[in-house]
Amino acid sequence: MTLIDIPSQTSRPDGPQNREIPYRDLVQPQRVHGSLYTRPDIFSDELAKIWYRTWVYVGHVSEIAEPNDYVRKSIGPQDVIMTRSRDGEVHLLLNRCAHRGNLVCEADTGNSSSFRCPYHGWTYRSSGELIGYPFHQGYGGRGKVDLSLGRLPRVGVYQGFVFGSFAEDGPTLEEHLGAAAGEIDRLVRLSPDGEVEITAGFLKHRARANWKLLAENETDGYHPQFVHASIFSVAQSGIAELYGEKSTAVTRALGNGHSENDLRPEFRRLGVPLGWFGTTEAKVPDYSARMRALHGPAAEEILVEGAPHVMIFPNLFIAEIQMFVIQPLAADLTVQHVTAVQLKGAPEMNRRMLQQCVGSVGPAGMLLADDTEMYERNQVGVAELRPEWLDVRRGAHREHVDERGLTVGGATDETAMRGFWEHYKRVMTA
Amino acid sequence: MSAALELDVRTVERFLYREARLADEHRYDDWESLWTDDGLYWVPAGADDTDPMTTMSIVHDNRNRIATRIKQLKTGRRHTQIPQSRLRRVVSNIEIIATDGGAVTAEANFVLVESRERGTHRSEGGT
Repeated sequence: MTLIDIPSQTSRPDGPQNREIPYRDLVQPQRVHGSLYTRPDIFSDELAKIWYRTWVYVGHVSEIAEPNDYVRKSIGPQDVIMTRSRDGEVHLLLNRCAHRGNLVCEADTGNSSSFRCPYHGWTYRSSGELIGYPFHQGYGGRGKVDLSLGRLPRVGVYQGFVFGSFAEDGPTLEEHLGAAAGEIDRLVRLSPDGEVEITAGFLKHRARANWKLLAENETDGYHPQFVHASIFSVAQSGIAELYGEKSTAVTRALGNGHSENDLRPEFRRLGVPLGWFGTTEAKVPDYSARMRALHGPAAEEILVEGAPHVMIFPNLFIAEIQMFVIQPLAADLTVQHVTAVQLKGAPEMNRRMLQQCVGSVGPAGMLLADDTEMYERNQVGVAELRPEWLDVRRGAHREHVDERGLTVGGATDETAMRGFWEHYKRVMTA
Repeated sequence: MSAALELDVRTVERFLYREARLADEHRYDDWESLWTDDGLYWVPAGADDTDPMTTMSIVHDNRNRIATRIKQLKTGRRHTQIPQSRLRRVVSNIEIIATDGGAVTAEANFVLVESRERGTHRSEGGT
């Protein structure tokens, strides 16, 4: 085992005296270094180069459906207010008064044409501009203070999904999403009205683990039969077979760190409309009728192929009927926000999707509680000093490049992780 | 306070204590036998006025799902419970809110302390 020159995994202050972090050594094609998950200085560097620079998922337009609606969101540790101003525009504002830095918004959600800081009464429009401040003579009159709420300079909306970037310029949202955009399209297409709604509220699920352990696990097709063996053995869901050695499903690196478990080959083999969701058309007759009326002969394929299982770098994971948003707070602390996807115009489906999601996710979830148990054990494990590396070689010898130029591996292969790390290295060394 | 109502509060109290003790001691078969077929185990997330049919809950188990949850625990492969948490529930403020024929609506508060491999958690709630 070659030892490379890597600073200790223990905490060290950030600062100019800190050595350059050797990402090219730490991230290798078939292995990554354990310190990437534990070093506070690497976490700070990730905030700067990923979370406060590239496109990050923030929220969904359906959460702020009406003018002046707002909802509190986050980008890592940053407290972001997503608002819809009177003119319908979506804004991402930072929850910090321009006067002395107090929170201007305490409620999780609401409707208001302005935010009034409770400390000294400074008031802002829902688009972030300063409207006024009390006792204005102390500033020489009204309209003399040229300040406003902080805001994300770039806001991008794709199919109702709102992303933000702290960078003034860079790749467009469409460039960032690349091939992953098609997976969002596949989800939205399942709504008879062509819209997803994120209206069921979120559970917040804490994991004392590094955010990358979560991001990598989302499209790891190798773990389900082991981590989720308990639920697979008592509930006949058919999920286990999707992630078996004989599965015809594939893992695909979608570029820019995005990835998917493409389960369609298995669902096509099953050939049952809504089989992907464990139900039948007879049980959701109105939904089925609307989809067939809308799509004609194409409905069969749409209903057979189902919803995507896609991880969008760095923090949005859509697992068929549920949606996770990853919020990193420290090198060893992450909150996963999770909700059920709701399809506009499909009440029969929505009820089922919500109840299935509640059973699966959150701290009591029959699936996700065990994932979080693994994240937390894993965080302890990666801090052990030997053998230093995490191995991500699985299936590298049997990958191929598809007609879109995307790398495809087997159902249980680590193709997605390798795609994640390749992108990670690129943005961290940019 | 009438003797009859006093007896009812005591009966409710005994039931809640027993339920808490069976859960604390991981005696899930005995615990499950307390449930009627129309039982609903609901742990809301956040606000009290949420509708569990349209809003996320932490737990929203009908009788069938309660059974599945216990079967899952008993596989011996439910990683979150290997090893089992050490649990103690303290149940208090038991009140009968309404009686309607043979049905009694009772409320209580509880504090649950969970000691685990990587930390101790405390949960509070009304039931």
